[in-house]
Amino acid sequence: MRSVSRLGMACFGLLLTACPSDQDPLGTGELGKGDLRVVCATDDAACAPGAESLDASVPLAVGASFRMTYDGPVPKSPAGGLSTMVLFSGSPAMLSKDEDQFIAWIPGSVAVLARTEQGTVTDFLHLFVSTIERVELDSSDEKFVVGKQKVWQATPWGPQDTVLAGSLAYAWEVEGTAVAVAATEGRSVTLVAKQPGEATLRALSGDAVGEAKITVEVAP
Amino acid sequence: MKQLCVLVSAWLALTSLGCSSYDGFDLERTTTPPGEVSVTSTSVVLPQGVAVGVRVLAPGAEDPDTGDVTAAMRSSNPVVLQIWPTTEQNTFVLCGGSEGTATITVLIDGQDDESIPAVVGTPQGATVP
Repeated sequence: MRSVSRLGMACFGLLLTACPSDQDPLGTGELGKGDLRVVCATDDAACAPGAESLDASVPLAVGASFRMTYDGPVPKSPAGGLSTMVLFSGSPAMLSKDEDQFIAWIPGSVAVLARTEQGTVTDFLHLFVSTIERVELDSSDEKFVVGKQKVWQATPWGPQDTVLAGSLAYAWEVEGTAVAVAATEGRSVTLVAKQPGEATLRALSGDAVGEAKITVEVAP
Repeated sequence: MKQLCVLVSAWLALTSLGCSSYDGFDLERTTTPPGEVSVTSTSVVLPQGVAVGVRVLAPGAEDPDTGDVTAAMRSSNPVVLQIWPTTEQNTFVLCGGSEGTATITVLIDGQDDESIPAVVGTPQGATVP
Protein backbone atom coordinates (compact mmCIF):
# COMPACT_ATOMS: atom_id res chain seq x y z
CA MET A 1 0.00 0.00 0.00
CA ARG A 2 2.89 2.28 0.94
CA SER A 3 4.65 1.60 -2.39
CA VAL A 4 1.44 2.37 -4.29
CA SER A 5 1.18 5.62 -2.37
CA ARG A 6 4.82 6.49 -3.19
CA LEU A 7 4.24 5.64 -6.85
CA GLY A 8 1.21 7.90 -6.86
CA MET A 9 3.14 10.77 -5.32
CA ALA A 10 5.99 10.27 -7.81
CA CYS A 11 3.54 10.35 -10.72
CA PHE A 12 1.95 13.50 -9.32
CA GLY A 13 5.40 15.08 -9.03
CA LEU A 14 6.21 14.12 -12.62
CA LEU A 15 2.94 15.60 -13.79
CA LEU A 16 3.71 18.84 -11.98
CA THR A 17 7.20 19.13 -13.47
CA ALA A 18 5.86 18.31 -16.92
CA CYS A 19 3.23 21.01 -16.79
CA PRO A 20 3.84 23.17 -19.89
CA SER A 21 3.01 26.41 -18.13
CA ASP A 22 5.86 25.80 -15.69
CA GLN A 23 8.49 25.23 -18.37
CA ASP A 24 10.73 27.77 -20.02
CA PRO A 25 10.14 28.42 -23.71
CA LEU A 26 11.81 25.79 -25.86
CA GLY A 27 14.52 27.94 -27.31
CA THR A 28 15.94 31.27 -28.24
CA GLY A 29 13.50 31.92 -31.07
CA GLU A 30 11.13 34.84 -30.63
CA LEU A 31 8.09 32.70 -31.45
CA GLY A 32 9.13 30.41 -28.58
CA LYS A 33 9.26 27.33 -30.78
CA GLY A 34 12.89 26.67 -31.67
CA ASP A 35 16.48 27.42 -30.91
CA LEU A 36 18.61 29.44 -33.32
CA ARG A 37 22.27 29.93 -32.51
CA VAL A 38 25.45 31.37 -33.98
CA VAL A 39 28.03 28.60 -34.33
CA CYS A 40 31.40 29.31 -32.73
CA ALA A 41 34.15 29.16 -35.34
CA THR A 42 37.71 28.57 -34.13
CA ASP A 43 38.68 32.14 -35.04
CA ASP A 44 35.66 33.82 -33.41
CA ALA A 45 37.02 36.28 -30.84
CA ALA A 46 33.73 36.43 -28.92
CA CYS A 47 33.59 32.69 -28.23
CA ALA A 48 34.99 31.30 -25.01
CA PRO A 49 37.47 28.43 -25.52
CA GLY A 50 35.56 25.23 -26.20
CA ALA A 51 32.20 26.97 -26.64
CA GLU A 52 30.04 25.57 -29.42
CA SER A 53 27.64 28.44 -29.90
CA LEU A 54 27.00 32.07 -29.06
CA ASP A 55 24.00 33.75 -27.59
CA ALA A 56 22.17 35.92 -30.12
CA SER A 57 22.68 38.97 -27.89
CA VAL A 58 26.40 39.08 -28.72
CA PRO A 59 26.83 41.64 -31.51
CA LEU A 60 28.43 40.60 -34.77
CA ALA A 61 31.03 42.62 -36.66
CA VAL A 62 30.30 44.24 -39.99
CA GLY A 63 32.16 42.11 -42.52
CA ALA A 64 32.03 38.99 -40.34
CA SER A 65 30.93 35.62 -41.64
CA PHE A 66 29.32 32.96 -39.48
CA ARG A 67 27.12 29.90 -39.53
CA MET A 68 23.88 29.33 -37.66
CA THR A 69 22.01 26.28 -36.47
CA TYR A 70 18.33 25.64 -35.88
CA ASP A 71 16.99 23.13 -33.41
CA GLY A 72 13.23 22.92 -33.01
CA PRO A 73 10.01 21.66 -34.50
CA VAL A 74 10.13 20.52 -38.11
CA PRO A 75 6.72 20.40 -39.80
CA LYS A 76 5.75 17.58 -42.13
CA SER A 77 6.21 18.16 -45.84
CA PRO A 78 3.30 17.64 -48.27
CA ALA A 79 4.90 14.30 -49.21
CA GLY A 80 4.55 13.12 -45.61
CA GLY A 81 8.17 13.16 -44.43
CA LEU A 82 9.82 15.89 -42.43
CA SER A 83 10.46 19.17 -44.23
CA THR A 84 13.94 20.40 -44.94
CA MET A 85 14.54 23.51 -42.87
CA VAL A 86 16.14 26.58 -44.42
CA LEU A 87 17.73 29.45 -42.52
CA PHE A 88 17.52 32.79 -44.29
CA SER A 89 18.11 36.46 -43.73
CA GLY A 90 15.28 38.93 -43.24
CA SER A 91 17.23 41.46 -45.30
CA PRO A 92 19.82 40.10 -47.74
CA ALA A 93 21.28 43.61 -48.16
CA MET A 94 22.10 43.70 -44.44
CA LEU A 95 22.95 40.05 -44.03
CA SER A 96 23.66 37.95 -47.10
CA LYS A 97 23.93 34.19 -47.26
CA ASP A 98 26.42 32.21 -49.32
CA GLU A 99 25.72 28.48 -49.04
CA ASP A 100 25.70 27.94 -45.27
CA GLN A 101 27.59 31.10 -44.34
CA PHE A 102 25.95 34.39 -43.39
CA ILE A 103 27.90 37.60 -44.01
CA ALA A 104 27.00 40.82 -42.16
CA TRP A 105 27.13 43.99 -44.27
CA ILE A 106 25.11 46.77 -42.63
CA PRO A 107 24.94 47.73 -38.92
CA GLY A 108 21.63 47.25 -37.14
CA SER A 109 19.18 44.56 -36.08
CA VAL A 110 18.47 41.90 -38.65
CA ALA A 111 16.28 38.82 -38.38
CA VAL A 112 17.33 35.29 -39.24
CA LEU A 113 14.35 33.04 -39.88
CA ALA A 114 13.92 29.26 -40.00
CA ARG A 115 11.38 28.03 -42.54
CA THR A 116 10.36 24.93 -44.40
CA GLU A 117 10.99 24.64 -48.14
CA GLN A 118 7.26 25.30 -48.54
CA GLY A 119 7.66 28.64 -46.76
CA THR A 120 6.29 28.10 -43.25
CA VAL A 121 8.34 29.94 -40.64
CA THR A 122 8.83 27.95 -37.45
CA ASP A 123 10.82 30.59 -35.59
CA PHE A 124 13.22 33.52 -35.91
CA LEU A 125 15.47 35.80 -33.92
CA HIS A 126 17.26 39.10 -34.33
CA LEU A 127 21.01 39.48 -34.53
CA PHE A 128 22.74 42.78 -33.95
CA VAL A 129 25.45 43.86 -36.36
CA SER A 130 27.89 46.56 -35.30
CA THR A 131 30.76 48.45 -36.90
CA ILE A 132 34.26 47.67 -35.64
CA GLU A 133 35.47 50.60 -33.54
CA ARG A 134 38.97 49.27 -32.96
CA VAL A 135 41.14 46.20 -33.36
CA GLU A 136 43.43 45.11 -30.57
CA LEU A 137 46.51 42.95 -31.12
CA ASP A 138 47.63 40.74 -28.28
CA SER A 139 50.43 38.29 -27.69
CA SER A 140 52.08 36.54 -24.77
CA ASP A 141 54.42 38.39 -22.41
CA GLU A 142 57.27 36.13 -23.49
CA LYS A 143 60.34 37.95 -24.84
CA PHE A 144 60.70 37.87 -28.62
CA VAL A 145 64.24 36.91 -29.48
CA VAL A 146 66.00 36.52 -32.79
CA GLY A 147 65.28 33.22 -34.50
CA LYS A 148 62.05 32.56 -32.54
CA GLN A 149 58.42 32.73 -33.64
CA LYS A 150 55.54 34.35 -31.79
CA VAL A 151 51.78 34.54 -32.40
CA TRP A 152 49.62 37.71 -32.28
CA GLN A 153 45.84 37.63 -32.26
CA ALA A 154 43.46 40.33 -33.43
CA THR A 155 40.28 41.11 -31.46
CA PRO A 156 37.56 43.33 -32.96
CA TRP A 157 35.82 45.68 -30.52
CA GLY A 158 32.50 47.41 -31.01
CA PRO A 159 30.71 50.19 -29.12
CA GLN A 160 30.48 49.93 -25.32
CA ASP A 161 33.66 47.82 -25.11
CA THR A 162 32.04 44.72 -26.58
CA VAL A 163 34.04 42.07 -28.39
CA LEU A 164 32.36 41.48 -31.74
CA ALA A 165 31.52 37.99 -32.96
CA GLY A 166 32.03 36.29 -36.31
CA SER A 167 34.98 35.36 -38.49
CA LEU A 168 36.78 38.31 -40.04
CA ALA A 169 39.33 38.47 -42.82
CA TYR A 170 42.46 40.39 -41.83
CA ALA A 171 45.22 41.86 -43.96
CA TRP A 172 48.54 41.91 -42.10
CA GLU A 173 51.29 44.51 -42.54
CA VAL A 174 54.73 44.71 -40.97
CA GLU A 175 56.76 47.90 -40.81
CA GLY A 176 60.47 47.45 -40.12
CA THR A 177 63.02 44.73 -40.80
CA ALA A 178 63.20 43.20 -37.34
CA VAL A 179 60.34 40.74 -38.02
CA ALA A 180 58.66 38.98 -40.94
CA VAL A 181 55.29 37.24 -41.30
CA ALA A 182 55.74 33.48 -41.09
CA ALA A 183 52.05 32.45 -41.32
CA THR A 184 48.52 33.78 -40.99
CA GLU A 185 45.33 31.96 -40.04
CA GLY A 186 42.03 33.63 -39.24
CA ARG A 187 42.66 36.31 -36.65
CA SER A 188 46.16 35.02 -35.84
CA VAL A 189 49.52 35.92 -37.35
CA THR A 190 52.83 34.21 -36.63
CA LEU A 191 55.89 36.41 -36.83
CA VAL A 192 59.51 35.34 -36.96
CA ALA A 193 62.17 37.53 -35.33
CA LYS A 194 64.85 38.30 -37.90
CA GLN A 195 67.14 40.76 -36.11
CA PRO A 196 67.19 42.93 -32.97
CA GLY A 197 65.20 46.15 -33.20
CA GLU A 198 61.70 47.61 -33.35
CA ALA A 199 58.84 46.82 -35.72
CA THR A 200 55.16 47.68 -36.10
CA LEU A 201 52.49 45.08 -36.81
CA ARG A 202 49.17 46.16 -38.32
CA ALA A 203 45.97 44.18 -38.79
CA LEU A 204 43.40 45.63 -41.17
CA SER A 205 39.78 44.50 -41.37
CA GLY A 206 37.45 46.70 -43.37
CA ASP A 207 38.06 50.27 -42.22
CA ALA A 208 39.41 49.20 -38.84
CA VAL A 209 43.13 48.99 -38.09
CA GLY A 210 44.91 47.50 -35.10
CA GLU A 211 48.53 48.21 -34.35
CA ALA A 212 51.18 46.72 -32.07
CA LYS A 213 54.79 47.79 -31.38
CA ILE A 214 57.17 44.85 -31.35
CA THR A 215 60.66 44.67 -29.85
CA VAL A 216 63.05 41.96 -30.92
CA GLU A 217 65.95 41.19 -28.60
CA VAL A 218 69.18 39.35 -29.18
CA ALA A 219 69.19 35.71 -28.26
CA PRO A 220 70.67 35.11 -24.78
CA MET B 1 -45.90 26.29 -39.30
CA LYS B 2 -45.99 29.96 -40.18
CA GLN B 3 -43.39 30.69 -37.49
CA LEU B 4 -41.12 27.96 -38.87
CA CYS B 5 -41.35 29.48 -42.38
CA VAL B 6 -40.44 32.89 -40.98
CA LEU B 7 -37.47 31.41 -39.15
CA VAL B 8 -36.21 29.53 -42.22
CA SER B 9 -36.68 32.60 -44.41
CA ALA B 10 -34.80 34.74 -41.93
CA TRP B 11 -31.96 32.22 -41.73
CA LEU B 12 -31.72 32.03 -45.56
CA ALA B 13 -31.71 35.81 -45.83
CA LEU B 14 -29.01 36.21 -43.18
CA THR B 15 -26.88 33.49 -44.77
CA SER B 16 -27.14 35.08 -48.22
CA LEU B 17 -26.21 38.45 -46.73
CA GLY B 18 -23.01 36.91 -45.39
CA CYS B 19 -23.72 36.88 -41.70
CA SER B 20 -21.65 33.72 -41.30
CA SER B 21 -18.57 35.45 -42.60
CA TYR B 22 -16.52 38.11 -40.99
CA ASP B 23 -17.16 41.72 -40.15
CA GLY B 24 -13.83 43.27 -39.20
CA PHE B 25 -10.37 42.22 -38.09
CA ASP B 26 -7.49 43.41 -36.03
CA LEU B 27 -3.76 42.69 -36.01
CA GLU B 28 -2.04 41.66 -32.81
CA ARG B 29 1.73 41.55 -32.37
CA THR B 30 2.93 38.23 -30.98
CA THR B 31 6.60 39.19 -30.60
CA THR B 32 8.51 42.19 -29.30
CA PRO B 33 10.85 43.28 -32.08
CA PRO B 34 13.73 45.76 -31.69
CA GLY B 35 13.27 49.32 -32.89
CA GLU B 36 10.27 51.40 -33.84
CA VAL B 37 7.63 48.93 -34.96
CA SER B 38 3.95 49.70 -35.32
CA VAL B 39 1.35 47.15 -36.38
CA THR B 40 -2.32 48.11 -36.55
CA SER B 41 -5.21 47.17 -38.80
CA THR B 42 -4.67 50.41 -40.73
CA SER B 43 -0.88 50.65 -41.06
CA VAL B 44 2.36 48.75 -40.56
CA VAL B 45 5.73 50.39 -39.97
CA LEU B 46 8.98 48.55 -39.28
CA PRO B 47 12.71 49.01 -39.94
CA GLN B 48 14.62 47.13 -42.62
CA GLY B 49 15.84 43.78 -41.33
CA VAL B 50 13.34 43.59 -38.47
CA ALA B 51 10.73 40.82 -38.23
CA VAL B 52 7.57 40.76 -36.17
CA GLY B 53 5.04 38.05 -35.44
CA VAL B 54 1.45 39.12 -36.18
CA ARG B 55 -1.83 37.35 -35.46
CA VAL B 56 -4.96 38.20 -37.44
CA LEU B 57 -7.89 38.53 -35.09
CA ALA B 58 -11.34 38.39 -36.61
CA PRO B 59 -13.80 38.87 -33.75
CA GLY B 60 -17.24 37.48 -34.26
CA ALA B 61 -16.25 35.58 -37.35
CA GLU B 62 -17.39 32.01 -37.45
CA ASP B 63 -17.22 29.44 -40.15
CA PRO B 64 -20.27 27.15 -39.89
CA ASP B 65 -18.14 24.06 -40.55
CA THR B 66 -15.04 24.67 -38.47
CA GLY B 67 -16.17 27.34 -36.09
CA ASP B 68 -13.13 29.25 -37.15
CA VAL B 69 -11.81 31.49 -39.89
CA THR B 70 -8.70 31.19 -41.98
CA ALA B 71 -6.77 34.38 -42.56
CA ALA B 72 -4.07 34.96 -45.13
CA MET B 73 -1.76 37.93 -45.70
CA ARG B 74 -0.04 38.95 -48.91
CA SER B 75 2.56 41.58 -49.70
CA SER B 76 2.38 43.59 -52.90
CA ASN B 77 6.19 43.88 -52.85
CA PRO B 78 8.00 40.95 -51.20
CA VAL B 79 11.38 42.63 -51.78
CA VAL B 80 10.29 45.44 -49.45
CA LEU B 81 8.04 43.47 -47.11
CA GLN B 82 8.13 39.70 -46.74
CA ILE B 83 5.16 37.89 -45.25
CA TRP B 84 5.54 34.29 -44.09
CA PRO B 85 2.95 31.96 -42.58
CA THR B 86 3.88 30.24 -39.32
CA THR B 87 2.90 26.96 -37.76
CA GLU B 88 0.21 28.80 -35.77
CA GLN B 89 -3.08 29.36 -37.57
CA ASN B 90 -3.70 32.97 -38.63
CA THR B 91 -0.26 33.98 -37.39
CA PHE B 92 2.34 35.41 -39.74
CA VAL B 93 5.82 36.87 -39.70
CA LEU B 94 6.26 40.27 -41.36
CA CYS B 95 9.83 41.16 -42.23
CA GLY B 96 11.31 44.37 -43.63
CA GLY B 97 13.44 43.22 -46.55
CA SER B 98 14.48 46.63 -47.84
CA GLU B 99 13.49 50.27 -47.45
CA GLY B 100 10.31 51.25 -49.29
CA THR B 101 6.56 50.89 -49.26
CA ALA B 102 4.25 47.97 -49.89
CA THR B 103 0.61 47.07 -49.47
CA ILE B 104 -0.55 44.20 -47.32
CA THR B 105 -3.72 42.44 -48.38
CA VAL B 106 -5.54 40.56 -45.66
CA LEU B 107 -7.77 37.75 -46.83
CA ILE B 108 -10.38 36.23 -44.56
CA ASP B 109 -11.56 32.83 -45.73
CA GLY B 110 -10.01 33.46 -49.12
CA GLN B 111 -11.70 36.80 -49.73
CA ASP B 112 -9.87 40.11 -50.07
CA ASP B 113 -10.78 42.01 -47.02
CA GLU B 114 -8.65 45.09 -46.68
CA SER B 115 -5.43 46.61 -47.89
CA ILE B 116 -2.99 47.99 -45.33
CA PRO B 117 -0.17 50.35 -46.28
CA ALA B 118 3.25 49.27 -45.00
CA VAL B 119 6.43 51.32 -44.69
CA VAL B 120 9.87 49.78 -44.22
CA GLY B 121 12.34 52.32 -42.87
CA THR B 122 16.09 52.51 -42.38
CA PRO B 123 17.83 49.74 -40.39
CA GLN B 124 17.33 50.00 -36.68
CA GLY B 125 20.18 51.67 -34.76
CA ALA B 126 23.88 51.04 -34.98
CA THR B 127 24.50 51.02 -31.24
CA VAL B 128 24.37 47.92 -29.11
CA PRO B 129 20.86 47.58 -27.62
